Amino acid sequence: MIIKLALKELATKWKWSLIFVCNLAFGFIGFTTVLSFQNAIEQNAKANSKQILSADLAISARKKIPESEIQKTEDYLSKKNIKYSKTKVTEFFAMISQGDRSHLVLVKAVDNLYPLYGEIILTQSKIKRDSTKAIFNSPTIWAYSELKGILGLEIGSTIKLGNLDLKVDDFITKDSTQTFRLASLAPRIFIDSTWLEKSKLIQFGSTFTEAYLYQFDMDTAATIQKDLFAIINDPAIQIDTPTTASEDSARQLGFLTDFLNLVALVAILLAGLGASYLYQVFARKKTKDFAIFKTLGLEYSSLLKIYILQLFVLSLLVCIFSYFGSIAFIPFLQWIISSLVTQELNVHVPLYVVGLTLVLTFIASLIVVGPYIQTLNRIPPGVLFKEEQTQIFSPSKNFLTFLAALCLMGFLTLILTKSVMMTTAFIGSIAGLAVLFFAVGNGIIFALGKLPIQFWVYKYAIRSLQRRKSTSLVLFSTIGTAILLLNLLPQLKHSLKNEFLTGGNTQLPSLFLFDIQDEQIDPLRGIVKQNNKEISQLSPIVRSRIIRINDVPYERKVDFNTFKTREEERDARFRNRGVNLTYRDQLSSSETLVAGMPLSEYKGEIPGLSLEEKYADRMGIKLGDTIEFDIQGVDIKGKVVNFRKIKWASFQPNFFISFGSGVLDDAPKTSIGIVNGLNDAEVASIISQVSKALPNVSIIDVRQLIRDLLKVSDQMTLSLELMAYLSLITGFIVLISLISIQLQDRRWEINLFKVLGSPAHSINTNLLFEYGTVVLFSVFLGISFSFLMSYLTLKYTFDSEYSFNLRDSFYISAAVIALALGIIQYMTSIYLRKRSNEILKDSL
Amino acid sequence: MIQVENLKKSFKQSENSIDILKNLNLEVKKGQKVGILGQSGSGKSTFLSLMSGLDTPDTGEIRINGVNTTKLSEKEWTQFRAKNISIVFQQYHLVGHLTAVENVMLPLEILGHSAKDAHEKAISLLGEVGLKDRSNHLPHQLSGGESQRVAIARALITTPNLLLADEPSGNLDQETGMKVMNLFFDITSKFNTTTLLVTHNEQLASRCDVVYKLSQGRFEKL
Repeated sequence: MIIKLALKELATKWKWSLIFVCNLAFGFIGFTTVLSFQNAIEQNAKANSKQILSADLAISARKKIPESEIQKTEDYLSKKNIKYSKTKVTEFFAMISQGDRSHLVLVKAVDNLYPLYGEIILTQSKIKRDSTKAIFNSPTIWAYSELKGILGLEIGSTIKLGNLDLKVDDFITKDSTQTFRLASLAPRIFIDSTWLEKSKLIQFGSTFTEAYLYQFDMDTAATIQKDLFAIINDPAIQIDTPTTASEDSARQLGFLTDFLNLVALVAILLAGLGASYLYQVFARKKTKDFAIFKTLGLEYSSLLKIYILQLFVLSLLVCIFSYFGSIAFIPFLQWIISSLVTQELNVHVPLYVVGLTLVLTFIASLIVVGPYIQTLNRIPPGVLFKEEQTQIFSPSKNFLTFLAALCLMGFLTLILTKSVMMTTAFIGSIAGLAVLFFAVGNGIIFALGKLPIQFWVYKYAIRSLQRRKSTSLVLFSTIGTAILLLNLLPQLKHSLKNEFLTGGNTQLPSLFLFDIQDEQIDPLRGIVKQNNKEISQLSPIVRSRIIRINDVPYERKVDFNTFKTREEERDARFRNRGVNLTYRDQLSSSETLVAGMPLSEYKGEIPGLSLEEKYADRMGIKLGDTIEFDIQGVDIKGKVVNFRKIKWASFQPNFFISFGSGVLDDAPKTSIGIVNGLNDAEVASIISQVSKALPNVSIIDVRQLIRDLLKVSDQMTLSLELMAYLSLITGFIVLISLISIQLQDRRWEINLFKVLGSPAHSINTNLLFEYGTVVLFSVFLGISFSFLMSYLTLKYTFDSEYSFNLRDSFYISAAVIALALGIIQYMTSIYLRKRSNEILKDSL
Repeated sequence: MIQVENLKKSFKQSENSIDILKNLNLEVKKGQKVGILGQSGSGKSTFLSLMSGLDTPDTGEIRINGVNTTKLSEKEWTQFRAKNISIVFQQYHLVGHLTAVENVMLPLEILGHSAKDAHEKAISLLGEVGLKDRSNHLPHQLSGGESQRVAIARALITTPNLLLADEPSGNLDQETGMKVMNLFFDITSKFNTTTLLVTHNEQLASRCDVVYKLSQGRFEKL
């Protein structure tokens, strides 16, 4: 009987059921789609994990790995009777040139065992392990195809790399170790490692990464990694397995999917808000049924079963709708994301995502509906009969629902983004915005009520807004949030673009030079001077590793827990790597002192240290703490005397840790510096001259880098915008649902106005004014809040200057207002066209 | 005042046509109160729909104050209705988000009267129905009897030529219904309003000047 009653009611009220399902389904489409993408990215990375690492185990460091550490590893492997193959890869940035054109590349020096897994696909052949192909033992290279366009290379062209003249043997079309195409700062070239020494590019203090790759005869990489962590103590030496490599690889797109998830969650929240209102309307109408069932002797538990069953059926329908919606939506997102990913992603909606959507929809429905059912039960049947037209749900119920929904959102955000910071910021923003929307919405409605409007068409529209406040506020918040989201992205993009292209208040450099040896400083100055420019902010860079903090040995932090938050992962990465130090007394133009005293004023016995504030926070270092460094075998201790804030987007030479002048004068070092104010021709000329005269000095063309970064960020923003549009569509579905249900609820009121002699156009104006006011103010508020949020995000997250993008805001507002008013007009006209004699029927 | 001649109305149900009203004739004088009795489904609501212009007859004529309303366009009907006809519904049909006084003011405001004028008249009429002190209450704060009294005040504020009343006490208990109907008859007499009262209640109908029974699509004078 319970099943029959539950299903029959849904079938009878099929219009309401359909609106409820569509409303929530649209909210879940984005969520299902992003989860499917995340799954595809992770599965792809997992399936190709060995190819990504090109080994079963990799021991690497951004320095020369001591022979002793490798010996320890191999002794361990022998002791365990593990047979292995080994290959060594050295990676470093360098300039290559052909004729007058030069470009920064990432050089990979390999031997013929590379890659142990995976392959390098060339235009004419495939390279796998034990290749006897061209570059080995010959002065040739394989180069990434993009260098064809950049340097005008062809097969057979000769390039200059350090002291070497090398011929292009072939171009690489696919490299299994590269998974995501996030920025083409430096395309790769491959050379035989035997040429490395001859190139004389790696000198004392140069930046490079050395990696030993191992292939085992058994699948025990995880155990070996665990054991080696205990054997190799130096936190600057990384030990990676295919699993960690694939996680790292997937993490590169993690931030994009994190933000996509947040936008998808907003869509769910909007849909939930709409669903909550829809259910209120439904529950108000079914109070009589509830009372009848109760008076007929049906127990509350049975009634509860009916409603829970109905919710399950509705959730199932939502799940099915959102599944098909995702299938339709995935190709659009895939089209955008495919330009960022080198691998073919096989995106489908996995079964676990379908199951999760069902569970979440059901829980979301329970949260939305629970308080109303509970309220119904507490009211005696007699009151229910009487109160059919009255407000039986108190506003505190809405608040409780919102609170429960927020908790669910928080839990979901943490699971999806694995970031406590992001979760806190997101939930805080949602809660803050809800309070703002409701407070400002209330204020606007109150102020409208005070307007001395006499004409009934407008006066009663305002009365309706005032006296149906909860509906008005739900509409207000839903449209406002959707608009906010939609306008937030162009605002952030515009400001960041502006900041990147112009540097905001700080002038962006034209060139960034690094790996400059001491004896090369003067010749380099000479070359730059020939172009009437100066090298500025020349800063020494000294490689080191932290060995003690406050006299306590500083060791590798290894955590084998499977669930790690993004912050924990990032902190672990920060801990387990070497540090670059510099020394100077003065702050650069992109730095601000935020705590402590300037290094120039510090007179203590232990040398003073200046730390970047976020770095210090992540490392748990406070003012007055001591840090001991190992610099090429020499221990140097420093005391933290101040914290600095750095504007990283300035592209100036900045460091996490800086000593005062004089302390590291004798330490082995290279230098980095910048050149400002060059035009494109001067950039090309200096790069070419430096590459020829000082081949080991690496140069980044900052403007080109920014252009490349913006291309990638444009693609990412586009995918986020696509999700934001989905949220807006959800907002519109909510708008249509709410207005449709409202108009249906008010159709007798429309008829009454007709019966009282009001012309149709006056009723139309009345309704259009009422809903139009909500739309106009919510758009205005959404846009205003998006300005505020983008300002705060830029200031506190990116530490960037803000610049308004009024043009996009205007287009978005105009489009949304036109569309919303169109929808309202269309729906109103449907109800106005209906015959008004229904008012005389009892069924009303 | 009102002449109804050969009024016919039928509805299609599946493939069959059901005649609801068959050659209905009626004549009502100014200020006369006419009671119309009839069982459920006898066509009472259809008759009121036709009289108020919310529906159109298949054939026949309705003349109100000499105007053949069957020839009016929808727009003309709207204006005509605003000036000449008011309706009291069984289910009150007050606008939920408007207070009692605002509900009563509404018809005058639609006719273009100033809000001040409408407010004065509405307060005065609410006084007549004994609800002056409830004028700022919203409908859900009023009892059934009070709501119907507000609806009566709203119906009379334009001093209509014709008042159509559809079971005004149908939703009320006997005692409240009696009180409301007493007020209804007193006030319509005071305003000399021509009234068509549709009801099941023979006792109530008997208080009208003339009573007709609507049966099988025709009026039968009682």
